[in-house]
Amino acid sequence: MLPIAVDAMGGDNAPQAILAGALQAAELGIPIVLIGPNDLAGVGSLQLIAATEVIEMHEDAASSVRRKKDSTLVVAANAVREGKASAMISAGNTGATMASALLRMGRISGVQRPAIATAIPVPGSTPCVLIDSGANAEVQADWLVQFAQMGTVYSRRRFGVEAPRIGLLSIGEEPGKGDSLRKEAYELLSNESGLNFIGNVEGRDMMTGVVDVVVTDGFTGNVALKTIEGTIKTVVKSLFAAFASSPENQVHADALMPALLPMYEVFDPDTYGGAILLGVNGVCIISHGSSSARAILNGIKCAQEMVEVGMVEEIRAAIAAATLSN
Amino acid sequence: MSTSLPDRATISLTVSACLATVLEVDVGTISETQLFKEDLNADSLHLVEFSYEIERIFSEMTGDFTVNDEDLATLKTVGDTVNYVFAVLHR
Repeated sequence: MLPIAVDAMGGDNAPQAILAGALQAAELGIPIVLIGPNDLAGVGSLQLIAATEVIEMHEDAASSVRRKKDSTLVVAANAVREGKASAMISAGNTGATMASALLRMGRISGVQRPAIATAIPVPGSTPCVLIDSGANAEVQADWLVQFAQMGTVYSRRRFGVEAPRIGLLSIGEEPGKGDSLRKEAYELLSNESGLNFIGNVEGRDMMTGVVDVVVTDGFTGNVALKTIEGTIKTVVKSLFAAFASSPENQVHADALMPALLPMYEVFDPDTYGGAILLGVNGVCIISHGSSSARAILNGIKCAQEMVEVGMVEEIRAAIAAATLSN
Repeated sequence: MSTSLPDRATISLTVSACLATVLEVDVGTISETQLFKEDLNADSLHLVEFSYEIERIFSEMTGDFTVNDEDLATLKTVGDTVNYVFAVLHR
């Protein structure tokens, strides 16, 4: 397997956390190539492709990718395009990561819009795939059908769900609920063969195990994702505050900890390592800006898995088949 | 890398081929009078991809070619783009 290109300079904790995650992945036998400055310290025995520029978090995505051709993000995407790497991962500027992947790897033929798929934790079940969680603020109804097709492949290949249940995120379960976009998308999804469309779902359904892939526009998806993340963080913080509020509570909390910690791991975004950009000609993992070494390690593992199962090729085949049948 | 400058006909063919690839349409359906949005249904993402590819292709052909961000917003037709590329390369 070709190495996975890791943007050493992307994210709030770069390069230390990125290097630590990459080194841990290499210890597991995953081939890694770092993308960063020539004089980057702490690289160890890892291979490095030099890049002299960094796209900062605040920079405009499209123009920074056009102007900073020797940035770590563009060089990472180029490495995949040129067959020097099998996948890329970055915790840097999300928009620029998407733009780099789109412009250097290119769109899969027939894909109207690449979309970001994020794993939403579901206690006691496989995660739910939320697509699009931020790439396309405005969408057309037929793009949502493609998101469903790509999300189906991802759910199947990443989480082993044989016939993923597709739900359209709306404000009620009935077909007539939602705005004109949702109503049109509902019709299209209902008539699309090859999809296990179960109808509209609501935000509260995403973490209950009743749906495997939730399809929506990137604006709504991002709001939903950030709401879930914020809520989980607040609940966990409140729990810990309650545990620490008295010595008696702390004793009870200590007793409960063996049961609570595995649950915490399910909810921790670092467990999943990042989202994936679907619809481009390569595997691109977009990690959280605040990624820890553990998040980077898990993102790299995800990238490796997606390369090994041939997810890009499977999406290409799914889109081609759907295009032919329409 | 060649530093000889392409003539207008070559630029027109290159621009049309590039646009056809981005829009996934037959190059024969593209003409210089067409408006990107109204005639070719190109949206903002298509135009980002198109401008990136134009920069890449003409940089490879001539050694250096950049589309200015402000100028990019003024290009409305295929012909505008051909004229723009020609003017930048031959100034």
